[in-house]
Amino acid sequence: MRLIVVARSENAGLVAEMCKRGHEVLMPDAIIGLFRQAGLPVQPINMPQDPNAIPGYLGLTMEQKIQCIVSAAPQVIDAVTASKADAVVVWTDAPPLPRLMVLAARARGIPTFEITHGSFNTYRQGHFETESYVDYVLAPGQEEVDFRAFYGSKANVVVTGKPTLDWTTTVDKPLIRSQLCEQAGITRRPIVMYGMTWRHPFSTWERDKDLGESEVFSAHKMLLNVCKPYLIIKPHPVMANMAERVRAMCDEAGMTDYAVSTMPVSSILPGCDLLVSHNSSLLVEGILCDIPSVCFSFREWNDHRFHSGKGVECIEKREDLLAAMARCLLDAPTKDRLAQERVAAKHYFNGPNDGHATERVLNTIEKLAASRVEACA
Amino acid sequence: MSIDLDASLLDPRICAMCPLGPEPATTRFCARCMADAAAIKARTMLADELRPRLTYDGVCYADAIKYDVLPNLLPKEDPAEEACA
Repeated sequence: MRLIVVARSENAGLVAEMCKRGHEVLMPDAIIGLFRQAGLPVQPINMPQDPNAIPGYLGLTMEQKIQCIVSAAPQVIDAVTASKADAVVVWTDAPPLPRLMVLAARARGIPTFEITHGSFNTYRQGHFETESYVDYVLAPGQEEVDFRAFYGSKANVVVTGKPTLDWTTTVDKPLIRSQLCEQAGITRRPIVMYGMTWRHPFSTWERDKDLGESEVFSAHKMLLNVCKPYLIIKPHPVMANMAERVRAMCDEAGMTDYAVSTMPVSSILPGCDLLVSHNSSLLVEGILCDIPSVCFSFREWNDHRFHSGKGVECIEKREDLLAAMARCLLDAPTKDRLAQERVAAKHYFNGPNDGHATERVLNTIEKLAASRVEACA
Repeated sequence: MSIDLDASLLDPRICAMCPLGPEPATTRFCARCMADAAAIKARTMLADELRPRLTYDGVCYADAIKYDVLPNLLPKEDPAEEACA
């Protein structure tokens, strides 16, 4: 098949599987380098820059933003039409370029798929102001189905598991633990990971810039007196170049016993005793890796009831964060309860959770695209 | 812009937990959700209004403007409004 793919670098495994099965993969120039560096034989498709990636775009007026999209649309529509593609696969269809590609493909009868991000409502669609425009959302788990339905989405959601979570089924936790201890120069101390996230103006809720860093720092300093944890802070990937800024924030806050790391999640999280995060998708990885986890958001609690009892302690008040972290780190009944909840939560968030989501996603694309071709024949 | 809000866009389970609290004077929904729903409605109305113009070679792409071409309708008293200014 000929596939037009708009993916992120973390989707390289899925793209590799597409190439391995002999599919022709076409990608916009702006992202193709990421995959060619990985040695994948992907081909360019002549697309303009995504309008929202244009420098200064966010500062433009509404009319100027619309003009950017109007300028890009003919080239995108012409390219999709000329491609004779069998399917279009995007990791999300929200930003202007993939949305234009999806709208063009649907108008031309080309089946469209979204490999949705899945998370605790950060950078996710299905919230009540957004909708997916693809034919099929390939979802990590039933949670995605329920979440979208909860907010009235009419998207066609197929549960496949999430390819970028496949690593969690085979990870060697003791090995990661020993590597972390060696790097940090520590021995028998609790290790806490603080997974930072980001905000994007999808909606009123998500425009909130209060990420709660100071509360995490305060809780860490208090816990030092109790059990001397070591804190590993992981900036969100889009903030990876801000590690120095995060260190400066920590130093200004008088932090000790911490590190700021931009290593992959798979090299940190499995070796930790506790994950604390501001609504990040890392919380799903925490569930899958059996790490007690605290999800906090002091102003965007809208989905905490939805996620209640799913293996993560959700905190809505600043004054509750320290106690929650202590409880999830040290209190056996709490840890047992979360462990029991995680048994079902693993499948709720990641379908079969068998480490084969990559193959399942591609099997699904092949099957549904082929059935469309047959129906049109 | 006068916007007639569709109550189905709003969910009381969210509003009950809103940091701004409910807005009982006019509706059972909170100020944030009202603002969010108004923004959705405004974007949808804008896309519908522009639909005839945003068409190329038979492909209507008006829905491509819905993502971040959004008016900021946050209530003035909301700290998030200041943060995103």
